[in-house]
Amino acid sequence: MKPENRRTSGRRMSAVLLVVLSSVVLAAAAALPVRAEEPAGGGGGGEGISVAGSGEVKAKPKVVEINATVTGDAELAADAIVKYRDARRRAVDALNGLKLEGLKIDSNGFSVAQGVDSAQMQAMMQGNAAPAGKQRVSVTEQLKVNLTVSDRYKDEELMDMVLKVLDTGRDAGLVIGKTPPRNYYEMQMYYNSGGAQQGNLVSFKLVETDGLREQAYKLAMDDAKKKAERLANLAGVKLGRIISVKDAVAVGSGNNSANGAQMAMMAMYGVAMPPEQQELTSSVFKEISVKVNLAVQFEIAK
Amino acid sequence: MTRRRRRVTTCRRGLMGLLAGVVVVAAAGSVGSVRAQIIDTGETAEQARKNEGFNIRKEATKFNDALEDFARYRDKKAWELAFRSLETLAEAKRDGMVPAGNGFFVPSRQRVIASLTSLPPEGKQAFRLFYDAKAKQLLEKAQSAARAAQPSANPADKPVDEIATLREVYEKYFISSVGDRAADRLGDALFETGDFAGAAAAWGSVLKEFPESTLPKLRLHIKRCTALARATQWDRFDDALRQIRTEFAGERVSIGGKEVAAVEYLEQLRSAPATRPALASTKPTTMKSTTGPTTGPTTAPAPEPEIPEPTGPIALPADDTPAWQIKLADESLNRKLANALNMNQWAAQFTNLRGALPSSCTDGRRVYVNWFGIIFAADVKTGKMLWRNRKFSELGDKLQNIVNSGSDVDVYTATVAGGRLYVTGFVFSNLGNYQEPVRLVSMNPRDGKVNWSSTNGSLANYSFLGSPIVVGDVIYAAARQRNGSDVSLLAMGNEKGELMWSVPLGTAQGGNNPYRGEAMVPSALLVASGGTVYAVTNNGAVLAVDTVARRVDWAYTFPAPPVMREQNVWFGGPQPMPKPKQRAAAFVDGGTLYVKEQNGDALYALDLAGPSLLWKRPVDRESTITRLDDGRLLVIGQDLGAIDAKGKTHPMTWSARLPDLLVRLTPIVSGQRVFAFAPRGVFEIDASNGDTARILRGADLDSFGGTLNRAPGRLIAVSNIAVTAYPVSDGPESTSGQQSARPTN
Repeated sequence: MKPENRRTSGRRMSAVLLVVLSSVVLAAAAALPVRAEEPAGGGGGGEGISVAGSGEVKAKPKVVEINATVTGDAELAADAIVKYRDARRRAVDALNGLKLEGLKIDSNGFSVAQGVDSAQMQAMMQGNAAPAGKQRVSVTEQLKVNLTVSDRYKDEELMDMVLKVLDTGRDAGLVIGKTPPRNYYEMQMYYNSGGAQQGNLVSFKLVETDGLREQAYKLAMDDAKKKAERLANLAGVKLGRIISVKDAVAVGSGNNSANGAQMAMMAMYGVAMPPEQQELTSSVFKEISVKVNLAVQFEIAK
Repeated sequence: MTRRRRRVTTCRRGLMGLLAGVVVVAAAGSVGSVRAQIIDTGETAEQARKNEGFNIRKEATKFNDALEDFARYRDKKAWELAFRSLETLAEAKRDGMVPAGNGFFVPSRQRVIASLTSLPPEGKQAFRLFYDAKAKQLLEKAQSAARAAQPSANPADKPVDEIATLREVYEKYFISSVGDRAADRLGDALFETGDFAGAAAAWGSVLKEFPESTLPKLRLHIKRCTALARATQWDRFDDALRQIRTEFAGERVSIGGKEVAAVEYLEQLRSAPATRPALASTKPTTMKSTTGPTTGPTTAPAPEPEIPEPTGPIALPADDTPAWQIKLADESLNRKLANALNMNQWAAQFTNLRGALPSSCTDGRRVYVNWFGIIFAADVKTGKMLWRNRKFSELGDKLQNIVNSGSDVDVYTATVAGGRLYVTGFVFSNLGNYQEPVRLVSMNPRDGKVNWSSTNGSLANYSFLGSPIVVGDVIYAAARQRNGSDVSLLAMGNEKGELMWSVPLGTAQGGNNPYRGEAMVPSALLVASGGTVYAVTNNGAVLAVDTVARRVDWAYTFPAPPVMREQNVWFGGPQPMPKPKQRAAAFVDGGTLYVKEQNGDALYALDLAGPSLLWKRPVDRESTITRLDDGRLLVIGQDLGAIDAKGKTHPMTWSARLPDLLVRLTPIVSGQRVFAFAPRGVFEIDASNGDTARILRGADLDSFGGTLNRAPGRLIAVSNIAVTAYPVSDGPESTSGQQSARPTN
């Protein structure tokens, strides 16, 4: 190659490198605000205009959910059954006796497990020879006490009703929510599995969120279109058709972060959420928002 | 670094670590030798299990070997060898117990007689060939002594002890041809000395074990029933009466020179008020005025009119307003408790102070509270504090001593009976002293002045184990030597507290205070019925003590509950707080003794006529029991429950779960209602099905709940922070005369 050609070639190489580097920087800069909300591997690097649109709809919780545990524990299975059966009957009767409109008690299933002989456990933990351990039976059922919130209730009325349910359940011997930590180990487990949120006795839920999601999607798409048009105008190009749309994570504004994280993971791996998990919860009685994020890529019209 | 060098370094590090470990362990050992016991007992689980449990006084192995030899030779009909074994048995001291099967133990003397009577007819015939002459000689000697009833002609001769001689014939030669006559005469002699239970036993053995006796049976029955009546053993009396009605209907007998119909005579005896049983009572009874030396000011209480405990149904008040309330713990005291626990965190792991309740009782006039040595009385109606032995605030200064000693605060009890208040506990000024004994103090319930105390005199060397019971003028209490584990039943005079007699029960196998190493002996529970005091050791045994003959009649042993304090420490931090353990329970109901030890895993029903085990069933360790009504038992714990004692499998018929318990619960059973002071209020439970009839939230909702006491017009709730009385309506008295049932607190 001639020296002149070499120089020309070198200039060309530098120009190409400059263009490529500039494109990369620009692309990176353009992608910055969107990237964080995009699913991994999300587009935006292709031709056209890529934007993220978000939509949010808020609604008041429709259901108050209280988790409770009923247990029967004894050496004789017959005793354990009597304890469990009577405790359940009495708790359910007491709650139903409140005659609260919209109160529903569901079972989350029961388990039959080996009970623990307290003296044996205590002796072992002290490093002593344990007394002969008797086998015990523990029957446990998780109950879900749901109270449908009517729009006509004032906040105070609802609070009264919820507290009435709590009092009645506890008086009837139900263990409401999770038991607070009583020692070092339980404290560790407590914080490893959600910490203070475990102390919540009541969660407020949005149920049947399809309609709200529909609205949120519409808002997100409108938002995406608006953003894309703005970019096209600025770039002096004409916005074309939509090339691709990706659903990002839809998260509620409730403070159930564990639920949000789970949903994010599921969205990442393309797993459809079962309907019951599409409920959005909050430990605070306030409006819960349904958020939708969409990554939309538009073509640049020629 | 070469591989070898790394290995050497690693080894060195390992050795250093090991050395450090040894130093730490040694240091820990020097700080408190007790800690090592917590970490490693050096025993296998099997050894530990063998060593656990109350060790009743057993006969030596030689004695048991001789018993086995006798049984073997008897079965082989080798009479001479069998009798030689019997001679070995007769020569032994025979003051211990021997196994009688199924966990029962009987006095060895009783077992020797049983061995004799177990011989087949040919064996008995052979026995008579060998021993009749000797038996007749002894009987003649005793009869001569009785006939003469005067000193021997020869002053050098020792006077013949008639009872001892008759007892020798009875115990060694009962199956000889004169054994029945010796037993009959022994019964007469014992009856004359006031040993009615012994007399009844002697006559009973002729009726039961000597079918060929020519002595008139009806007469023996009458004599036995009279003795049983005097000994207030009504269950046995009733059994005998039923038998007499069947076998001797219409027959007449000469009593005191008069011909009377036997059955009519016995029925009159049964209904005579003078011979009604004098049961142990926690109610005040009319008593003689007391005089004599006391350890405090002479405060002989004049008899106070008896206030019977209401037996009708309780109607809870309409609202939560109490009739009165006495606050025990205030903010300052709570802070001191927290500080005391914080200042000695190691010891704090072993104290049961956190979940402890004051002990309380009432005589219907006042409520008495023993709050860790601060004892006071309040008027039941007004709540006015009538007296107290010291200011409440003084407890705050002693909390650190209680924590530092790791002592068991369950030792504080209060019992009112026979017009006196009895309290147990440590001497307040000595709190924290090593091996400090638990004292028994008698107080005047009207002014709190001390009548007498076990701090000096014949009781000074005893440490008391649980509440005393009072039968007539005698106080019974379980106690141990202050530094030992040998447990005795003490009988004391109620006026002066003098030790009248004691019966050794055996040796507790408790363990040691995990903090300071002192011997831990569980508190015993006593219950009196029909001349017998039953001692529940809370250590895997119940013993029946004949208070007339002053000897252990029988013992029943079963797996002992583990003896451990509320400690929850292990490496890495405290373990889950255990559920509150309810007190032991024992009561006699229709000839059956029901026993549930504290922390024991089963309920035992013992037939006192045998004695024999009628049945047993598992019950939660933390629970206790009480009588609910005829044929039903109430289980008290996290779950209240009813057990059908008459059912074939003794099933639990209902259960009522209470809110999570934080302290021991002492409910009241009144008619068809159970009242339980739980953390969320006073629960009124329908005893027919366990349903909650009502919850009285009350005026002590910050407390952990606790004990209920009943007095006329008042339901008195004693919690960890207050004594609160609610106005209640007492319904019409129960026609059955059944009193409110409650376990001890």
